[in-house]
Amino acid sequence: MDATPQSVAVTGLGVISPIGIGRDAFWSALCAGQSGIAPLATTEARVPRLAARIPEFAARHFIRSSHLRRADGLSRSIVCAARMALADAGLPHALPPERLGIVVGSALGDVAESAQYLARLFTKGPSLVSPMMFPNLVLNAPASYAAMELGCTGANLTVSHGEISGEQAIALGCDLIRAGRADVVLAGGGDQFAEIVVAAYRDYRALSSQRGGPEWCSPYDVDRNGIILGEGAAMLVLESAQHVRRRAATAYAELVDYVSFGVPAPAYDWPLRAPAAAGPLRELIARCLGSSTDTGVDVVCGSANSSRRLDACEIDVLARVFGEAAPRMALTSIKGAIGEFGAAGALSAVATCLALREAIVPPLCNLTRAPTDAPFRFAVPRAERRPLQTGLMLSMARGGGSIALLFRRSA
Amino acid sequence: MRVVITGAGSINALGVGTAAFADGLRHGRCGIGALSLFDAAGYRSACAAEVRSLASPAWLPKAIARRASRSDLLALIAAREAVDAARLAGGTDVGIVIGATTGGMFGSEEQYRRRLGHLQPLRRSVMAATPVSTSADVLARLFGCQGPRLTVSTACSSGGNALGIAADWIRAGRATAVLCGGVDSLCRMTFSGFNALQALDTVPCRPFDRDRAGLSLGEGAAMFVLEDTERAQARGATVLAEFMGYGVSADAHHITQPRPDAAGALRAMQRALQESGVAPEEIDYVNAHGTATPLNDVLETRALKALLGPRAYDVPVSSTKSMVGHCLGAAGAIEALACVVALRGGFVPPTVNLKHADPECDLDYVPGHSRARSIRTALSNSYGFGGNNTSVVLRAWQ
Repeated sequence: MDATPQSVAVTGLGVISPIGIGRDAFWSALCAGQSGIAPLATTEARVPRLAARIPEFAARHFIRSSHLRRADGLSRSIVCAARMALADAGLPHALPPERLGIVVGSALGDVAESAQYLARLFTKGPSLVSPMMFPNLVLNAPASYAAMELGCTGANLTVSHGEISGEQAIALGCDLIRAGRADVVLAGGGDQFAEIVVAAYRDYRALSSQRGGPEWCSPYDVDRNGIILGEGAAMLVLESAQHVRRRAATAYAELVDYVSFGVPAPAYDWPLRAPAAAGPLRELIARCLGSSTDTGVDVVCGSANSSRRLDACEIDVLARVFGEAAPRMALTSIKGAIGEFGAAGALSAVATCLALREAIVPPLCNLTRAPTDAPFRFAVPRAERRPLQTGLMLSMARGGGSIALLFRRSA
Repeated sequence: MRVVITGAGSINALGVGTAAFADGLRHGRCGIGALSLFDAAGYRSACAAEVRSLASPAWLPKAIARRASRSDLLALIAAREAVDAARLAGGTDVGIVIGATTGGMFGSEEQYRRRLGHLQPLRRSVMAATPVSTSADVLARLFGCQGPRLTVSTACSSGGNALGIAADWIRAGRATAVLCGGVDSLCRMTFSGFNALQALDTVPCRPFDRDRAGLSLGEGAAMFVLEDTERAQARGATVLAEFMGYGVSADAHHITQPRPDAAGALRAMQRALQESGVAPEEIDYVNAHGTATPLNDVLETRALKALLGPRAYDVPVSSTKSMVGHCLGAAGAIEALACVVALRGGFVPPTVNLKHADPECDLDYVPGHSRARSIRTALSNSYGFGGNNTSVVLRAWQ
């Protein structure tokens, strides 16, 4: 298969998720329709009583550097995912360190340790805070620890843009390779579940059951009523087409191109409707697949997270873009399995690449009632085998920042 | 493809507006003074380069003003000036990329402090502006940036990276103009952190001085409109300077300490020059990272000597952090603006508070007073925590 000259290949995947540690555990649980959402150990009367937490796992099995003994929890997760992805890509250690880049996306960084740090500051005073805890709290700590662990001295960037942080990192990684700033980029990110994140989403009145109804997470569902939070980390190995060819490697998929854009949204809030998204998306599809008006994609992995507003907005945008092609397109989202968190898009990207490679649409695991007025083939609660050549990810954040990535199956 | 700067905006301890900033730099005014934003009791240092009397501007819509963080306000004020100067119209081809590290932390940490102490909370909407990305979102909303959007957070090199990414977008055809820059506000979190690391000087910082004892934190924002040169010329925009290129590298060494051989810093500068098509001999001025920590200043000096060779002694190198403090995520952008001011104003800004020479830091740091000098090419360095190094090259526009 001919890769378009600008395509960037995805050759390795690493994931730490509420439904499993590592690519295989994640993918088989996802296809089995498992959800990582479980009761919290809480005595609180109000929501949330559910969340998607990652299981305990031994980071020391993956990490070698002694620096990481003092690293924060989020950094350890992201570095583990990076190690897994590199191993999955079969990348040799002889890779020139200057040509390996790292891009990490995280909305809030290690909030758990940030809260601990501040609690100590406010209860004990400035002279008793932990000096070594502070550097671990900067948003770029995970990317820096990853560089130390892997010994890479190339481009190293951290991005942070709410719910599109993961996608942004992957997009920037793609750009770095195209601009010749790196041959290989580890891109992805992670975010944590923590009390302080709960407090923020509660303030936004975005949590499931805050406005009534049972507490549950079912993206696109007619009876959805809000978000359930989760946590996780994922890193993807992005590689230039020439580099893949030179080492005769195989790829899961190619990232053909992406579009980053903004839609109008009420200040500090999610967009209501986003007709403005149709233009950039149509241009992306045309650029990647040709301008035929009935061009669809085979599978769409949306960012729908069971919120009333966002899910409806996303369906509306996709319907505008794809029109008559919509009924052929499988529409899914993995938030029912992993919950919602800033860098969740990195895990969605892993799922999209695996879906294309395995020709399986991962299910909407909690779906009971699909919207009847929306033209798509909503993924059923069981995984579905289908030939899949192209996959689109769409994601829209609070504040209007949006991004879409188009993947194509590798031969 | 050439990328130029068609608008700039500024707010920091030297005042509001690029004219105030240029004036402060020219006269070597020190904006570092007593911290008043929060109680300094218990800290070893009470010095900071604070923006005094920051107020929500009258032109800001209420829906934004109600929730805007301190960082959002700084970013909005600087961006307003840049957009107006450039006469930038919004559109789907106008992107936005901001470098920042603290976001709404100043308000959010206070809310958390009150919750912990069961005190009267601030208004609930304070948390709306917590994430570091809200500044880019409100700027995009107000100034019509519907194109690519990103927030980069690489500690002290965030601002420089934002400019580099903006230029890359334009060169890749993802945008024809980009509103870009950096912003950060003071907060207890960062102040206490640097304090605990014993990295804060108890007097206004003294870059390259023999007795230097650490940095002075500051706050502010610098915003630019970067644009495709042809489009800028076609619409008759005023060009302030040319953005030549940038270079990045990672130390991969330690979460706070820079590499003792300064190899990462050197590599970032070399990459920046290579991409810009500029030879080391062409550099007329270096705006140093110059934090005034014992380690940074000597390592940066070493890296500059490796880059420039014996000519290093002839190139003026100054740290404007001596005047506006270390503004973290905004630093790289503020210092790029200092370069633009120098290129246009025909002078090199000084390193103030530099009184005693350090034998290990023996370059020309322009101590005390600015110097009239026609410069053509400037290099600006930013070295972030965790070893994120970025260098940016700017050139005068003829």
